Amino acid sequence: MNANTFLQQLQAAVRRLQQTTEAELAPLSSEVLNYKSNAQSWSVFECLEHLNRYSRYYLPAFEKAMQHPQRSSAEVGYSWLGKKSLEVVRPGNGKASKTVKHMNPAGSQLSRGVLEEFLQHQSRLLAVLAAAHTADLNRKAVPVEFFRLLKLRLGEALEFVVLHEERHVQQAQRAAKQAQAAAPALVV
Amino acid sequence: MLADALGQVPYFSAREVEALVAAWNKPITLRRGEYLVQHGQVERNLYFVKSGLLRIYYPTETEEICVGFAYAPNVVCSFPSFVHGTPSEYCIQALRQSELLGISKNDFAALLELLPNIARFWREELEKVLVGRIDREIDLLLAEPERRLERLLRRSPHIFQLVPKKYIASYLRMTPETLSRLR
Repeated sequence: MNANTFLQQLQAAVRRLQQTTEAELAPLSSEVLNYKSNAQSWSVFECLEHLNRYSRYYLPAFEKAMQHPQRSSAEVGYSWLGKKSLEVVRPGNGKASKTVKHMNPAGSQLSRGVLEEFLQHQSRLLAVLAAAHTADLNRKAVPVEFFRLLKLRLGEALEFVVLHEERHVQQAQRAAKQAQAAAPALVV
Repeated sequence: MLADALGQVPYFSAREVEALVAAWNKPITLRRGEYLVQHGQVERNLYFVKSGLLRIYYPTETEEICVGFAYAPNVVCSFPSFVHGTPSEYCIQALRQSELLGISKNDFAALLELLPNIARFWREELEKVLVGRIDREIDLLLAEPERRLERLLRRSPHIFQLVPKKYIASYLRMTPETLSRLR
């Protein structure tokens, strides 16, 4: 895919995530945002905290990877590892994957700060995507979080983070819906 | 149980939940087959369903037409009778052992006056009920039973886990045989 189109699509996706979070999730009460339908499933806060933990690692890694901007080739290419990683997090993939322990927020004390942090990460991610227009998206420059000897190309790593966020924001929307379904409903 | 459910209303503070829980306090237990509201009875309460399953039906000489179902955490009443204080044309019957809590119309009306968030809750529930009724009216105008079923499946997929098929068939205005064939 053409590098500019590629980045524009990611930017549009992040803006949609901001919108969903602000319009659908932020107005809900803390009870709803903390609601877990069972012990194993994540609450809205837990979904967002999971994403925050990824952002805390990947955003600085992206910024570092772009410190030596080069003219990008017109096309975005993928490595084998990149393709595999994207397959795992793609929102359409219904398979549950196991979360590494330090990325699993289940059971931690979470509050509204999680939501604010998530939105801050999105603004920073948009800035990264804007700056990436002049970077080489095919340079192997981003160490994988759980195994830093492996590196992803900058472009595929950006796509990985965006798809991963889409996946868990969708999960958060489902958790919110379930929480609200448990509120009393009038039947006549 | 009532407090938990009310706690899920996003804009309720502890104040609204406490006020509702304090007034919504008449426990009722119905065994399977017993009536919450009989034909001809005047409805003076609103009920929260803690557990169990009830059907709302309109009795005719030849059949009992199911018009709705109530289960936890629903709030249920015979609505025209509740609003107008006239004898109920509908019956509400427990299909399983059911536990409910009642609040009188007067107490509920007083809370609506007192706490704006409770009034907001009531208004939003009435809006949802109206939208539901408009959907239901379309259902009933559709001649093909499969389309009525398809719309119910889309709207309330969980209902097939809760309610015996013969009552769902009555609700969908089809015979149990037709429903079995389509499912």
